[in-house]
Amino acid sequence: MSEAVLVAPKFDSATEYSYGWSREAKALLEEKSYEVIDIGGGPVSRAEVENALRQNPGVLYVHFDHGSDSAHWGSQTEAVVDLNNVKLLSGREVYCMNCLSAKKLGVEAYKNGALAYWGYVETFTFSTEAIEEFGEFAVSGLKFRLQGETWMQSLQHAKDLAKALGQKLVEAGKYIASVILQGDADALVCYTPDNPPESKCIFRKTAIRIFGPKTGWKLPSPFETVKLVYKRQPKSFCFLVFLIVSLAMLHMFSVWQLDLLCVDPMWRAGWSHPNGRLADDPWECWVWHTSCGEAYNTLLFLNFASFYGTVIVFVILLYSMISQIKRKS
Amino acid sequence: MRDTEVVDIITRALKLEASQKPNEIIYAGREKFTYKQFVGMLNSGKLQKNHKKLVESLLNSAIKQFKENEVFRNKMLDLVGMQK
Repeated sequence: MSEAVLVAPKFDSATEYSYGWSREAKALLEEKSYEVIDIGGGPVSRAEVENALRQNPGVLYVHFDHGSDSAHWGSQTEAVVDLNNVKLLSGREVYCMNCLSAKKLGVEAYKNGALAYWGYVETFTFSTEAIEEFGEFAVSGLKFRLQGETWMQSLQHAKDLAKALGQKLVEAGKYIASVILQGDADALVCYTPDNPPESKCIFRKTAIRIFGPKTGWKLPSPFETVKLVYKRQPKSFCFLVFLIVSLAMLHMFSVWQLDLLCVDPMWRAGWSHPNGRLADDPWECWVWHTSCGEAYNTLLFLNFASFYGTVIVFVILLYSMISQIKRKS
Repeated sequence: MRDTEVVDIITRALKLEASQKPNEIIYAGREKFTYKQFVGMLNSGKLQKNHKKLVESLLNSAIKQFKENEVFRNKMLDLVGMQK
């Protein structure tokens, strides 16, 4: 007998409706001989859900009610699944009827090896005027899947159903409800190994194009890694960035001054000097008064030193970023 | 028909519908609005970020339906008294 973990907390007026829809989902599962571990009906704790998922690896996980971009909520204050325990979703199919969770948590679940993640990338909105239609749409994906369709076929059929229900609502003069239902259908996604999440990030897009979705999604984003390092070690991060910026500026300065120093002998046609060389001529750069020879030596040294300094500090920063990524994973 | 005209027609039609259904409620995540409150946000200049997203989503979906669904378009035009 197949098993499913159904989490459907009830703790405010919106969840009273969605809890009702979760009963339909439970009935559908039981109809197909699933043994349903039903957690809900009131506020649900994180420990309850974590235990159920740990004790039942690989089984279908269904969550109804409130969600956010990086969490499934069990009560007003406690997330039952979020980015910190997303690994519990690996190796299982996930069906969500909650707001936004496909946006970040769904992507993380995909990256952690979830077999399918059904969810919404925007807020799931519904109106009391068409509770039945919204309920039918909310459980439709699970219904199609249990009828033996693939997740992608179920997604297409759920979207088609939303269109048909929307038409029915329009004909009944329920225009606002129809528009909202269509918005929900547009926000519905399903990530599977064959249908990976899409990204707007240029880095991620390039990585996916070069390495394919499996590896491309696993590569850590440089922007997020920088944020992570800054969050964990703000002082050393700022110091290293300060060093890189200072050394880079010093490098640019020395190149500029060397250019000023060499421009005449290099480019002026018929250039000559009474002593045959520039080295003993005076050189001024703001408060720095010296000879051209001294300036040339110093600037050339600064040029090399600042270049290698920048590279070394950058490598240190890179090492620190890699070790933070390793710690995170 | 230009998008601004479409938005104007949709806003007027949805406002009319909202005024006829004072008891209906929209749940958007943890927030709830009456139809009147929700539709009132359509041409409100000052909106919170999440409300702005909701409004944009509703308008985009309505514009899409207006362009693609003849029945919806005719009903909207009928509601605002523009039906030919």
